[in-house]
Amino acid sequence: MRLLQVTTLGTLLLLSGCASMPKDAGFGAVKSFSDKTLNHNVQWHTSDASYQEAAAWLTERLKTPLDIDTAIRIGLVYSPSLQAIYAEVGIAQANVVQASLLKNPGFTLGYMSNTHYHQSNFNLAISIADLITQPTRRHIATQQLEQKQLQVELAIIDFIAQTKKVYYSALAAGELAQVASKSEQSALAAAILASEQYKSGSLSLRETAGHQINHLQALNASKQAASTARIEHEALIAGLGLPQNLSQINLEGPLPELPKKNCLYSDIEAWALEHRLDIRIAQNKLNLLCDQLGFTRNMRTLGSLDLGIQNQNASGTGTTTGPTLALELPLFDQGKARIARAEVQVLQAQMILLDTVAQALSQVRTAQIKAQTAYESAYYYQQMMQPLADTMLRETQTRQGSMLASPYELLESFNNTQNIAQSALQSLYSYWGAHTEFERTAGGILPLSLCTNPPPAIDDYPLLLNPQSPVPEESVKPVELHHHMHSMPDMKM
Amino acid sequence: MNYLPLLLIQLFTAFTCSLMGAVKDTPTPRVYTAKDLQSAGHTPITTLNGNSLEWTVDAEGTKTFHLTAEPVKREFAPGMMVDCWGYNGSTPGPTIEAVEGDRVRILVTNHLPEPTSVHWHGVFLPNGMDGVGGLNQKLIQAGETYVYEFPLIQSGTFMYHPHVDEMLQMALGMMGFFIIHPKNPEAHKVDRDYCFLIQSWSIDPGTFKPNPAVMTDFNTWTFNSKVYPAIDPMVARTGERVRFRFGNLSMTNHPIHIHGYAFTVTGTDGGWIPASAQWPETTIDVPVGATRTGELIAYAPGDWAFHCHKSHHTMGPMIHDLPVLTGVDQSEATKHIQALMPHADYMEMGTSGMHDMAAMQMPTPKNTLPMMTGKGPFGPIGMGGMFTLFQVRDNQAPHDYTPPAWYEAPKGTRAHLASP
Ligand SMILES: [Cu+2]
Repeated sequence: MRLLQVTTLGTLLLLSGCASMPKDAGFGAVKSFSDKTLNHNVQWHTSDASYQEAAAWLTERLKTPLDIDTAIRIGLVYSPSLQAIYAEVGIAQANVVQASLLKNPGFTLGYMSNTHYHQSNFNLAISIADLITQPTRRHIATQQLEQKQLQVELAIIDFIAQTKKVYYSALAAGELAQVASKSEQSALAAAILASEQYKSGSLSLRETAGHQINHLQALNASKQAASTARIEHEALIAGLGLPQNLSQINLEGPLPELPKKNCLYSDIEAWALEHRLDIRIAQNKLNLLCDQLGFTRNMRTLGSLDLGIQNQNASGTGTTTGPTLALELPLFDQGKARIARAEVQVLQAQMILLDTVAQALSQVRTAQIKAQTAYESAYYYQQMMQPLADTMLRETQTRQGSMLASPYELLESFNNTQNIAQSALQSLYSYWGAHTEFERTAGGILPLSLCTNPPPAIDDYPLLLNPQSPVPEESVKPVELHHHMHSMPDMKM
Repeated sequence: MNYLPLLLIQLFTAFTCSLMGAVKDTPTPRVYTAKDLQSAGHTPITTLNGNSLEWTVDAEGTKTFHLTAEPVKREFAPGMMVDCWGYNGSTPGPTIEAVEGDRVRILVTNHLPEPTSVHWHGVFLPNGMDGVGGLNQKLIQAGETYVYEFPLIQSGTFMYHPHVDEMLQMALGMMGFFIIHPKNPEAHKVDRDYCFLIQSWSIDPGTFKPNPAVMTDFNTWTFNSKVYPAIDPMVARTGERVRFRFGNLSMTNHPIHIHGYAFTVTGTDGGWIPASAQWPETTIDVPVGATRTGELIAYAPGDWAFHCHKSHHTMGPMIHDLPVLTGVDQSEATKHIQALMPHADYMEMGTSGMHDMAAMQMPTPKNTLPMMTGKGPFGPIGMGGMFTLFQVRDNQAPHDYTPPAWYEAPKGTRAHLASP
């Protein structure tokens, strides 16, 4: 008995002795996906030195204004939250290695009270079961690694989208603060003029107080906007998980311009179906559960096998526990319930896959609608309303110069341009947010080959101003008193 | 059934041909003008920036005038073209001149997009000829021509204007003078006889269409639908007797003032004022819906201002809710505003008064005249609206209406800087 035991163990050791962690700890696939498919460089630091190097690089990099791609890169190579997520792949890879190894024979304290024979016999049974189930466990662990890699890739896609949104938000908040500051300056000019009028006796205390309230309101709004901008910057710092010595960042503004042409992606659903990782994750989980079902059926007489996959949701980043073996003597429970459970789990996973597909397609369609609407909105503000507000300002200034409008009206008109500029900025920011979300829901990349250009919104606008007024534009020449007398009747219309 | 249209065409053709034939056979009637009045010993009317209506005379001696009501474009002054309504291509319409005792027939053709009528303001006539649409006659529909015919049994200064949709049609410029000369050319004889209609308009800066709904807040003030500096000056030779006839169809009274002279008020639209009841006045207040006639002997040569004395009425377009900035230190506010304006330089206005406006000639909105304009021999005149000149010269030839060069004051008769 002892001999057999030793021989078996020796064979088993031979079989499994070569299993060890691969050099990239399973992260190579993730890196390749991010670097090549998403075109954003990732790095998982498995040594402190490497991580410190990254910290030093970003400290240097943050001395100059931060563009969006660098912000993403900093997140992908430095952010501790992402590093923690990358580690999941390492854990899953370790599980694969673990699944390739046989259990160490030994005694567990709980069984010391039993007879030696029983203990030895039990150990032997474990070893045999271990040996028999090893290929399956290895297969399952490998699948779980792949699943984990997909989950981390999905986390990277989400992180990129989130970073873009936070970056745009911080940038927009900064620009909005500048607009608010201009409005404040304008209200200040009006309040100064009003107080001078008051001093010279041509404006009542009531009206003067009104102008001062206006200014204080604008001042307050400007301070609020500045505060919002700082908070939005803080959100970016938090999102990137910057080290404690970096508490301030300068962003490279302004917000990217609205693309000249709108992009409408035809058949974006087919693209999303192919590229969305959550769908692949759900599909993989179904496969895993199918394998589990088959395995449970085969192993029913040996006891239960916990594959450690029940408690993961499709996109979850929780730690994979890896398959574990729990051997029982099938005296009372002959595994019927376990099989039934595994069957139901397969059914459940099928439904989850179907729902994931349905949700994904609806999300990408919704995101496309939102991106389209946001494009038009930004277009209306930038291409139509801003020029019109500008025209109003010019015309008002002409009127003010010919005393047909007061300085107050001029400042009001200026404020109007700032209000429109504020809305234009917000709509541009909304566009980039919607575009980012669209990209995310399409699977992290948008297929330029599927882009068609719908006509610009302005083409549908029925009220385009004819810049050529029916009255011929003539400058008013100073007319001398001596002109032709008794002019002819005027021309008929 | 099918023959009917053909028949109609044939009938129409026949009718047209016969009509053409008739026209060919009839000699073109002689067209009379104000010159014919002059030959008859009357002094023809000088309508500032306008003219008098020509007429024909039929076999019975009835004078036939033809007015066409129609949309017109009027240049109020260079740089401002206005979409108006008027008569015979003009606002105001041409002056109708006739003589007491005449029988007149006035054809009125409506080329407006809506009905109209003509009321002969102040003229004594049969009730059915008075022109109140709906009351005295049917409305003259677009495209129709109506005939008014009546004898002239008085002389004096009268007007004509629509009496259908009156508010809109008058606000757009539909009005004219109806002058009836005394039968005796020697009665009320003058050497020159000027007339103008006073009107106010609301034309938003940057637009070219008057707003008829405005009742008080007008911004454009015209004599015969012209503003200074485009209003014809009135000229005279020293010693001539000159008559001025004012008609007011605006929404407020206008005190018309002459410099260097006093008018003798000699008539209203109610008729001539007996010599014993005439009175002197430098400013004739012309009420709404009335005419006033003033006369003078042009004894004093010079360039005499002649204007409405409501000072807002001698200005170009202006707004009336401007803040008072005179005497206000704007410098600090100006610095702030200049820093904000993205286009043109900001210029503060009105700190020391409004004269800068006249001197600077800043760009104005499209189709909008400056508030103050005009240049005289000694600097900016800074007027607009109801302002013109009465130019009297020793050497102005009789019947010559050409404006003379600027008046040269004899040495020692012009204001000058107190210290040399
Ligand atoms: Cu007036």
